[in-house]
Amino acid sequence: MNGDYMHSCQQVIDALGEYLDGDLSVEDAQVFEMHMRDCPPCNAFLKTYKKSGDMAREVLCEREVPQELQDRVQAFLKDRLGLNK
Amino acid sequence: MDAEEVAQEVFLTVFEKIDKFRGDASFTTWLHRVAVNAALMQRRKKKADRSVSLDEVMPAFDDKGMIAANVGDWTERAEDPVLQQEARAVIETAVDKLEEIYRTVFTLRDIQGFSTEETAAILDLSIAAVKTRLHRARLFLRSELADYFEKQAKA
Repeated sequence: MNGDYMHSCQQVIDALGEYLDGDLSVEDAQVFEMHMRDCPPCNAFLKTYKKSGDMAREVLCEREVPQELQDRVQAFLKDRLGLNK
Repeated sequence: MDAEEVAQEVFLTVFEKIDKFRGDASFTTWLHRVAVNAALMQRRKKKADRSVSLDEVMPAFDDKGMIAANVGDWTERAEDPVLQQEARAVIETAVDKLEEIYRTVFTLRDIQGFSTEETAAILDLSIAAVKTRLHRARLFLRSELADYFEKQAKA
């Protein structure tokens, strides 16, 4: 994939999550950052998207995870540690 | 869970409104009416809570895919301790409003800190599905907070 596909704001917004998670190629990340420098609305969107995530983490980290999800996580961890064999 | 919530609502309504029961219908008819109303309310609430439509959470784009409306930067306002308190409630409500398929991905990936690959394995999803659902959940959360902070700015 090359960065040419990321010329519009819509394409950049679609790639926000992958950019923040470090999943874009170096080339794509550079094109993303160039767009961000020249585009105040996308820049504001990125900042508020990131801020929302940070705030949510802070608020929700103390919340209890539903039992069903806890069970799935336990099964996954046991599997990873080879305890199910 | 829904039935339990409805039953609880019925008990509460009976408790609060028993003095309005005039006795010109039988008690069971009245109780039945209260239960039906509570169930209808629950269904309406559930419908309202249901989904994340991309149109609602993405900015407006023109036909070339460029953002066509103003996007406010409320990150500084979010540092205000008074607003932070209310924003906590906005976040809690927003996460509860998310459909489960988005909430589970968001919880594992962004709150619990599992990687995309681990989240996919735990939920038996493809990596692409995890990425899409996570992005959508994040967009929804951002949109709910943006609504809140923009209302505060106008107030």
